[in-house]
Amino acid sequence: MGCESMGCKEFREELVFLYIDHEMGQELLVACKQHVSLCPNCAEKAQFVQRLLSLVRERARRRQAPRRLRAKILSRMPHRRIPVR
Amino acid sequence: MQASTTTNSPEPAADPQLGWDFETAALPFLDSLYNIAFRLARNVEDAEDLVQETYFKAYKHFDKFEAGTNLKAWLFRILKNSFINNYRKKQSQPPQSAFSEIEESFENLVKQDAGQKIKDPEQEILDQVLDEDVQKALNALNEDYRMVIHLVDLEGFSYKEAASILEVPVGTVMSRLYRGRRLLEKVLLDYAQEHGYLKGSEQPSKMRSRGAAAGGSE
Repeated sequence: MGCESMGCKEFREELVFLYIDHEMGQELLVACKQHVSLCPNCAEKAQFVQRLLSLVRERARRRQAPRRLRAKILSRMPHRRIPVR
Repeated sequence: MQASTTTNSPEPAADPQLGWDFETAALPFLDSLYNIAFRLARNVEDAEDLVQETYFKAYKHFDKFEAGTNLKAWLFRILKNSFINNYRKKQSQPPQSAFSEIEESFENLVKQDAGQKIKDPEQEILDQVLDEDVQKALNALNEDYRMVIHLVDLEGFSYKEAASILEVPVGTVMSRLYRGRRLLEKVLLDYAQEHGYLKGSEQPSKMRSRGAAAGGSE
């Protein structure tokens, strides 16, 4: 199972994160894509990691900075106190 | 330049236009900066102070910022340093941080884990994860892991950008991400299993053995 140029172990333990993060060079990316297409276990692992990271990204609460904060920051900037002619 | 009447203003920029340029360029990142400030400080007051201080410092040093380079990363780096200098608790951190401080290389981490038999959790378990689980899980991580996961997974910085913000080697970013995500996965799966158990979808003995398998990697 899998292809000769890459081991399942290598992919599942190390490369999968780089793969999902798009943090690998073209050559390695092509090798990973090929491996994933040939190996159902590794494909499943990649899918799991992808789902996990997507879940974290989508569900982590994104806050808005309080209005007063923006006002406070701007009020302390001298250029805002210089009258514009 | 007019004398400042308030005690805590940045030194006036020699050129007011620079001030306007700063405002135009840097204020759009307010929400992003606030989010990471809150992620680190975990309360509104400190988060606000941290962001204010960041803009204060950034404004003051804006003349040194190289136009065309990554302003967002530059601002995040200033915030990171302000956090470390002023807000980071000086008391001893949870045990996990001891590993990250030694800056283990990514390769070593992988080698360590390679010896262990890890049973993969089933995909369906992710369906049980609730929004508040993600919040709780992120907050449970120590600052190093929480920070790098926020930068890469929530703000979309590349490894290289995260490394420049944190001022550590890329290998350190990779190893912290690796460990942090593994911990996050374990914690989320634990929560998911609890929900599943409460819903009555799993028998207790099955849950325990699956929990042991999923939690087998440390």
